[in-house]
Amino acid sequence: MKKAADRALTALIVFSHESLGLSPNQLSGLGLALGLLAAGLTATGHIAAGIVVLAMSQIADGLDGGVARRYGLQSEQGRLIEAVADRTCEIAFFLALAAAGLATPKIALLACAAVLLVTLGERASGFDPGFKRFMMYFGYALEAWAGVPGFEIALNVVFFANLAGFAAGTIIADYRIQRKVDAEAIVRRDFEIASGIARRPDDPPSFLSKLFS
Amino acid sequence: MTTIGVQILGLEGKDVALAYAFGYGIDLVDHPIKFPLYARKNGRKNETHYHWRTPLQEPVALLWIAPLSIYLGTAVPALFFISHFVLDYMVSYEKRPLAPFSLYSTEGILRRYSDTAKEIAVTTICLAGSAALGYRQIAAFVGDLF
Repeated sequence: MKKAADRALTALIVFSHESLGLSPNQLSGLGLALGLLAAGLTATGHIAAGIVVLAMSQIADGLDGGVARRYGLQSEQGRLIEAVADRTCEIAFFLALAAAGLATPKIALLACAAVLLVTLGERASGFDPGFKRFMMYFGYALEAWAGVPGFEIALNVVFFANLAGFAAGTIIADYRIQRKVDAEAIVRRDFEIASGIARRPDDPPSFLSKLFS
Repeated sequence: MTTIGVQILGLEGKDVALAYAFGYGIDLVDHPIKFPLYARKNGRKNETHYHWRTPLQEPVALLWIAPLSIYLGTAVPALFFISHFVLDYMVSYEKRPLAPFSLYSTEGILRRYSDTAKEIAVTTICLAGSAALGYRQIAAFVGDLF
């Protein structure tokens, strides 16, 4: 997915780094500044302008990682800066929607909590379902063309997708840990058998194992 | 425990469904998740203390159950989930309350008493409580029978 985005943005990646001399962290800063501007515009009622600037912020956000990967500038610090900038933009925009009366403060705050949770979980599981700023364009489309509370619907989707993503992420990470623990136990057991070391006897058969044997 | 909770709180409608989902149903979802790993490690052999639990029924799940409760506008999911894991933590098998963020493990609470004694005590209290709360319905049911 990231590589596909890089291919689509190749010209911009090369231009921003080689012609403008922007580093990944500077691009993250630019994305953050544009994201905050988008939130400010939305909060003051300039919804269409806010959505356009939000899209520009997401392009800058796509460029920072692209530049880092293309020019070998990836770093843990850069990843952290990008994550902080992304979450700040998202939270600012969600709260701006509430400030503009386009969504209830409750769902805006819950969506903020859900994206923060999924970021916490992603560090352990590597799983992030997405459904964050991108949903805002659908929200705008619904609001503008279908005349329904599109941003409220979009924030509901953000909340549920990210909350489910967090729960799923904890299970994925735990499953990996258990697989590793089991693999180590199997190696230990095989070693004990191969070297003739007396080992703990198996547990007596359970009711279920007797039933299915 | 879930049933007596539902009775004490006088829950109705969707709250009853939520109470059973988070007080009991979470077990039905949780354990099958680790079944493939258990089968790969043990086949048909029994391993009494295998770590069957996922973070779905550890206290760490409150991180997503609490916001869900706020969203739904009812404390029932969080409350019944807490009752579920408190009961789990009274039994002495291994638990990882903060998994996957920390591998800290514990055998739970009240460890000086045997699991059997704790299970008998909790079951007796719950059955007695349930019967006490529903004695009118029980009496009417028995009266109808005879």
